[in-house]
Amino acid sequence: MKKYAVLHVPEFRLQSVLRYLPEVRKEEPAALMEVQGSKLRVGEVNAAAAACQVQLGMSSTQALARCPVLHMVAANLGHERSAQAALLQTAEVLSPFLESTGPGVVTIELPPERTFSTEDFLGRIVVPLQALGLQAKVGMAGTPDLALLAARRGNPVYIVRNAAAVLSPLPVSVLQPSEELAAVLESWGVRSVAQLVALPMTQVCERLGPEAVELWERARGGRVRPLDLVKPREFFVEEIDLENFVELLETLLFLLRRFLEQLTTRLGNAYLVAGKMRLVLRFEDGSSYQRVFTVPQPTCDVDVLFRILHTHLENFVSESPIVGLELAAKPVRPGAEQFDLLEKGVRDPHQLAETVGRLQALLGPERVGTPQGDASHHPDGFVLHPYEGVEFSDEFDESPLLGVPWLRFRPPVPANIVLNDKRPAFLYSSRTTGPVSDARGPWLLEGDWWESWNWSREEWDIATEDGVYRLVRDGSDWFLDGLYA
Amino acid sequence: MAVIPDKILQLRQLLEARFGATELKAEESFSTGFTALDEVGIPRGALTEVVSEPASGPGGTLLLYGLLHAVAQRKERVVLIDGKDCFAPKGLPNGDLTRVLWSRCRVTSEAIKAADLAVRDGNVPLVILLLTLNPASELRRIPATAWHRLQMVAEKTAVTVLVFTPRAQVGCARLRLLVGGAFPLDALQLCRDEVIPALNLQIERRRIGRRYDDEKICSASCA
Repeated sequence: MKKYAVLHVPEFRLQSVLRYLPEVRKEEPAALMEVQGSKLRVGEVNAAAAACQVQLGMSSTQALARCPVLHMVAANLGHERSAQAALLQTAEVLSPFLESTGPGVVTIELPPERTFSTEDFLGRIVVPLQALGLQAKVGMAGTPDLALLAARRGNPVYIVRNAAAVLSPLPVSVLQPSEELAAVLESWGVRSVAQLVALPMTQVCERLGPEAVELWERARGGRVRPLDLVKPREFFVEEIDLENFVELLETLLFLLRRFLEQLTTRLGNAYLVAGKMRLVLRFEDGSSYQRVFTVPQPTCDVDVLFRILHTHLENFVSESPIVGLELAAKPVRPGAEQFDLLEKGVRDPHQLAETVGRLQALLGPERVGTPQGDASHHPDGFVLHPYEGVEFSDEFDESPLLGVPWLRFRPPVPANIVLNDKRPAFLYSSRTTGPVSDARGPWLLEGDWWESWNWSREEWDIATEDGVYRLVRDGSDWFLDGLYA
Repeated sequence: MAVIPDKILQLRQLLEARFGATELKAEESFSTGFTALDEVGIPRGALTEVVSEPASGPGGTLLLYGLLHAVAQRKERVVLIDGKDCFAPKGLPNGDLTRVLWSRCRVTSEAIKAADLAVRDGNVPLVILLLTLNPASELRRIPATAWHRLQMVAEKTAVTVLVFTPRAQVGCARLRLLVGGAFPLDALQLCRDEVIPALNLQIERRRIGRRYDDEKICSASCA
């Protein structure tokens, strides 16, 4: 027999914002304000605010008149997405079959061979979510609808063992009928679920239509339906759409630290660590900046992860203020690493990663890394990979190395050459000027002839009083390409 | 052997009497795997200056690429601070470059800062600072204190630092090598193993421990 559990976060939108405001304690009254019509009105309230008679639809003035110490917060879509993702990832510890039923509601198809107790749900769902700042309720039943109903009534866990016994005494309103249908049932004197179930289904269908049938089925505990399964996201994401633009590094770092605390708690709940981080900054002018950081030794240590971000952002400059922020962590399993007996490891991989980050901040990310010659025949063709982004090679090329290398001028130095019998005889350039005492060449090279960027060049080694240079002719232009030094 | 003035000797004796004699530790060498350098003995945790004058031919480049090749065979990591973005990766097989962290600087001041970061890190045992093509005017502007600071950090982190310069520059280098050799133009296209024996390394100066007793010009050829 199938079993379902539902995670339900009451006042989900409010909670998803409040979890980033630890200074607002949960026993303090708080309300979520949203634009209704043209006015700002109360959209959701917590229990403390409801106890102060703050009601939905009130204007901010009315709400403050009822409760002067009320915390009013604005809805944030980014926070809601993060909170929903956190719910799904927490639910994954029970089963991989998950449905994101709605905002703040996740339905789980539990493995039928396992039994679950209240303590299981408390320890694996409720407490981890509390650590993330979300007060969740859990319900378990034989159908998704009944499990949702149980979750709404959970304190914080409600396991339904006998559907009829649970449902019968409840009022019809718990089944959430439409206003019109509720009015008809009220006029018939049908007030409890037991009274509704006692009605014959065909008669209900004939008189009240398909909506009533659905309600009648819910009253009997609902039906087993296939879940609309969601694929767990590859990254753990925290994001925010900012009301007040961020212009200072300190503010940005403050937000990132909060995000990291949330992310590491979520990763810890799933027994995972961060292997990579992705930072996305969205600017006022519509542009965005994205950067992926590889964590040298995957970890959940907030300080280590924060240092990686801090080092990178120290020298970051943008033309527009930041209006949105997203930080994602790629989860990996911790600690399953087998070191090579002969490979010399580094003492502190995090320190090394930070140093690489500092070098990139000093020189630019495109100027620091591990070089690899590219597949072309161009003498200066190479690709710069991120450090440790290239697999260490243990198979060395034993073939003899040909030719003495030279140090390149980047960019090449323009030169004027006087030829004598088609060989360089005198050199004029900003680096050196003088007679060419000896020359070897020409070596003719060409490549990529099938592409628009095809190239061909003629190379010479020339000896001057200042040293031995590599000389290149590209078309009719001469350049000093490098120096044997 | 350089003659040390009597006043200096007296001052040393006075300082030793007051603060105690400095204990001289046996100098530890960094094994590179490149025979020519290992015979000379590169001090670990210190600055070694390799002076390679452009007019003297490709000895410096040959030494640099030979060193990178040898170090790669020993699976050792290297930081290459390229002072003028002049290193050519195609001079080595890709397998030799997988453990190289190449920092492509534009000016000398960037290179000094980058070297300071790399040496301070202490995770990579060998840092090469390549200043061969940097303009003399920029090199002259490096204050002596910058080299002293680098030397002290290298001592602390036990990182071996090789500084390639076009002329003698690093006053506090524990070891200064002069690179030379006769390389006719025809030799430049030969197999590298055939050219390396022509490389000539001369010890211009070696300082032992912290005592500045200079052994002047002990010449040693690796040919």
